[in-house]
Parts: sequence; C-alpha cells; structure tokens
Amino acid sequence: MSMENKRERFHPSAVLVYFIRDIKHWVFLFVLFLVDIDSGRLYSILALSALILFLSAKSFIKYWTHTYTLSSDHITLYKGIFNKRETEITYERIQTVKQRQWFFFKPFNIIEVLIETASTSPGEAEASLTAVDESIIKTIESYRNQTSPDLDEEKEIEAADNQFSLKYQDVVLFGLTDLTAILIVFTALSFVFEWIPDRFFSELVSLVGNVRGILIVGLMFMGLLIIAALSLLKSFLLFYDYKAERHEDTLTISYGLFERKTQKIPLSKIQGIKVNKQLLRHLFNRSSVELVIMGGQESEGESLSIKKVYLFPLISNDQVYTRLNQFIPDRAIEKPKVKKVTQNRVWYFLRWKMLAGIPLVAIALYFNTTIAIIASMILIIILLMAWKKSQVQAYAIQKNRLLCIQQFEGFTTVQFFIMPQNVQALSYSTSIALVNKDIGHMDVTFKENEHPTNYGMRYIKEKDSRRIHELFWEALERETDYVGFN
Amino acid sequence: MNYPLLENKLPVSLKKVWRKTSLVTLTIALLFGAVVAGIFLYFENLEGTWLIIAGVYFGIILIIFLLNFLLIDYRYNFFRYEVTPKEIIFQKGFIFRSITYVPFSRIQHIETEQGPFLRREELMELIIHTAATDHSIAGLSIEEAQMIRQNVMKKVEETDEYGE
Repeated sequence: MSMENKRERFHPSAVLVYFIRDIKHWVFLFVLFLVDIDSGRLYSILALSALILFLSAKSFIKYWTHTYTLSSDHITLYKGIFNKRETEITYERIQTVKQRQWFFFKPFNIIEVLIETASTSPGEAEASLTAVDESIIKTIESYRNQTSPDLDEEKEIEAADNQFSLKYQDVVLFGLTDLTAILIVFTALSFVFEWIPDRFFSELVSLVGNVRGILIVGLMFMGLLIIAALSLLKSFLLFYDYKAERHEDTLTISYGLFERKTQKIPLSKIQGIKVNKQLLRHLFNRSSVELVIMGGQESEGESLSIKKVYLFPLISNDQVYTRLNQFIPDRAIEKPKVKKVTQNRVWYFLRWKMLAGIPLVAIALYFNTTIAIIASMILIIILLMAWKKSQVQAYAIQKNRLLCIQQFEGFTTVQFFIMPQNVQALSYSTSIALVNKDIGHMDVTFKENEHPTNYGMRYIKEKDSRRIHELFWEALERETDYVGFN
Repeated sequence: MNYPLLENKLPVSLKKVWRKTSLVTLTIALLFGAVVAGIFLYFENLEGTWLIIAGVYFGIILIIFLLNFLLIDYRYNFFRYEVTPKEIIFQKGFIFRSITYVPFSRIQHIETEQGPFLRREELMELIIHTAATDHSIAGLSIEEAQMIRQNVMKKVEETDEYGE
C-alpha cells in the first residue's frame, strides 16, 4: 500500500559479496583442487568449475530471495525460498549501526549496513543490509533519532584536535612489527612444506652444490621475507586510510582498502582503554591504543577484520595521553605515575612454572638431548617473561577515580584504564599460605564484547589492595550515597 | 595477618549438605574408576603403566575427598556474606580464599536454586548475576534467602532509577 512497505532487493553487486564470502568458506577445497591441477587430472578441473558454478548459483538465489523493507518504526529483513524467515528490528532496540564498503561498491555509492542490537545471543540478532544505497544510512538515522534525539550525526567536527589519521609509514611499521603475524605465517609455511614434493628439495640441493647450510639459511631468509610481505599486505588491507574522529560524544572510526568499514562508538559505551607498548614498537617510540567495548562486536567473524577495536593503531609515545584526552575527554586520562608493586617478589612468579617445567626438562633429557635443549630454552623464555611480569606490574589511581593497571602480556606492556562504574565486580583473593605473608591478588571483572573479562595484579601486598579499595572503590560508594539521598 | 571475615555466617546445617555432597561425589568417582578398571581387567590389560595410572587415579580421588571432607568444619568458617547499603559482598574458600564486591547497580537478576540435599535441610542457594559474572551464596535458610532477594531487588530498583 504505502511506499514504505514495498519489499526491496539489495543492489545487484550483493551477488559478488555473497560469492566472495562463500569462496572464503570453501577456500581449503579450492587449495586442494588447485594443487591437484598440477598433476593434470581432468576431474579436479571439473570439480573446480562445478564448485564455482554451484557457488554462483547460490549467490544469485540469495540475491533473488533476500529482501528488506524500511518503515518509520522498524526494519524488516526477509529471506528463504521454502522456509521463509522474517527478522524485524525496531529502531529503539538498535545499539550501533556500522557500515562497510567493498571497493567494487564505490562506483555505485553502495554500502553494507550492519545493525547490532543488545541481544544476548551473539550473531543471531545482527542484521546486515548487504548492498544498499549510501543514502539509506541517513534514513535509518533520521528514523532512529525520533526515538533518541540526542544522537544527532550531522554535527560539525569540532576541531582538528578531534581527528586522527594513520600515517603511511606507520602502516608499514605496524605490519613489520606485528608479532602475531609471525606465528600465523609459521603455521602456514609448515602447511606449505607438506605440499611441496621432495623432488623440489633435492633439485635445490644439487643447485646450490650440496651446501646444506646455505639452503637452510636461504629458506629461513625466504621465510622471513614472506612473513614481512604478508604482514605488510594485511596491514595495508586493514589500515589503509585509517581515520578516527570525535563528533560530540561519538567516535567514528573508518578503515580498510577493499572492504571499507566505518564504526560509530558512543563514548558512554567504552568500558575501558588499553595503551599497549609492545617491545618492538617501543623501540620505534610507538604505542597502540585499544578500546574495550561491550556488545556484539564483529560476531560475524570475517577473516580480514580486526577483532580488537583500535583507536590509534600506532601513535608516538609522547603524544598518546594528550591525544587520548582529546578523543575521550570524559575520562581525563593523564600519563600514569605508576607504583610498581612486585619488583622484589620475583620468586612467586617463577615457582609454579619451575615446579612444572624442570621435571619436564629432566624427563626430556632422559629420552633425547635435542628435545631437552629445546624444552629448556622454552622454559627459560617462559621464566624470563614471568620475571618481566613481576617487574612491570604496577598501578596508579588518577583523578576522576580512574584506575590504571600496568601488566606485561605477550611481549607487550599494557596499561589498562577503567572507571569504577564499568567494573561489574571487584575481587581480592589469596591462599592459606600467602595470607600469612600479607600477599594476595586483585581483579576487576568487566564485560568485553560478549564475554566477561578479568584484569588484575598477582602477588601484591595487602596494603596496596587496601589502597585501591579506598581510593578507587570506596569512592564509588560515596557517589551512590550522594545519588541515593537526592 | 588476620584475614578479615565478613559479618554473616551461613546456616550450620549447610555442613550436613556438604558432607553428603562430598560422599556422593566420592561414590560416583569410585564407581567410574571401578567400571573403567573392570573393563581393562576383563581384557586382561590391567598391568604395567595402566595399573600405575589406576593407582594414581584412586589415590588422587581419596586425597581430594579427605581434604574436602575433613576440612568441612574449617571451610565452613570461611564462607560468608554481607549486605551493605551499597553492595553485596561474598567470601569463600579456605585454601584459596576470595572476597568479591558487587554493587547493587550492576545486578541484572537474582536466582535461587535448591538441590535435593539443600531441600532436606530447608536451605536455598542464592545466585546473583551481573552483566559479566555470577556469584552465589552456597546455602541460606529459605526465609533468609527470600528476605535477601527482596532486599536486594528493592535496592537494585532504587539505584536503577538514577541510572549510570
């Protein structure tokens, strides 16, 4: 009847999106077939084309059957041929609206709109308008604002202070210092080596004149180059033209080359802030800043999306706190003057690891010397990390009752900032043996994405726990007290 | 140092419940071990390493049971709670001890639960859920549980009105 209730199809380029997503799911099968093609078998070529044909047909059917309507109070999504499904989302229930733009969307001014609700089951309620005209985001926002008028997206950007963009050389640096990439590539390489025929190695050996050493060094060098190249590529795909800005009380973060994503985060949704100083990046005088956010972030699990929400992927060390203050003014973060708490209690950090590790090394030594050497090297690294942890662990309580906990996690010194109102529970623990030495642990529990998360300090003195309780936690009590009497 | 203890103890009859639970757990673990060992024995395989593993398994079960059972009187003293005007505080553990503070304004909902042993002693378990965590008081008399539940719900509503 009315225009609003007419079901609309997505833009035809949605077909391509569906196709790419399916290919991502089936990528292993593709690799298998492609490897077999080398042997010149006809059936693998047939299988490959059949798979492609099947996936294209599936994408077309999806495009044909997925429709949506926008009305003044809700969005409805329809899908299915035989088993028809309708999802209805009222504007009031929407938590965040995110947009994503693939490179082939650009010429048509098309975007993908992702809608997140506060539903408890992650992934379920998240709706996606796969390919729609850019103007739709304004329509949705205007409908939304009737119910929540404080969310005005059309405000002017306040000042240049509220904008951040990632420099070209920082994207390169991010890629080259990404330690997780090294792990991923090593597993990928070991997979590749499984597929390379032995003949290849023997030919290579004869080529370099049977010098095994050169071969090994060469392979390692190649491995390093591949790691660097892949990591750079990933970093470029993700952080190309990275921008963050603040309009009033909302942060807008956009990034990505082929798949451009835009995310809007109201300041009030930020649960905590992490300032990460990874060892390698620290050498270049750089930190990265991550936000802890509640709600179903990226439950879709796209392969090339960052699970972490970065505010500044890389920022120079001397700018980090001033910039943070410009972006998140309500926390009033200062450079923390941390109090180290466990510098002279290294033993507590080592003892259980040694108790478990040394017998294992001894057993390994009994069977095989090489394994024992590798095992003891791993143990030494673990113990060194534990030692570093004991030296780094610290805290600070700032104005505004902001607690900063400094920790060492996986080659990174992390400063975690949290306000009492974002803490779901505060706990202190100890054991029958530690209690006599006035030593215990403290933990704050908060919600990160969908999951409860802990952050705390191990083996700290009881007087430190008490100080945190008084200055950080009791202050919260006073505040609710005040509210209560109003 | 003297470890701080909270105000309210749990009902003494909870010890009985713990003893029964401890015995039942032991029986189930022993039965499971006996069945597995029986299967090995049937196939005439219960020797060498397997025999050692079986011995270690039964040994560990017994030690855990004894620690659990004999320490019930001590443990009981370390399970406490306190309801202040602002928050609810939980204390638990004898060997590994912890105290947890949960402000009323974080509480999402409250649950009560009653297993067969608890029902016999007319006790209830009270579970408090926040957006991220669950906390429980192991056993309370039914009247007390209802009272705390109502009190807490009232306070949750009060703090909620002013929001965060």
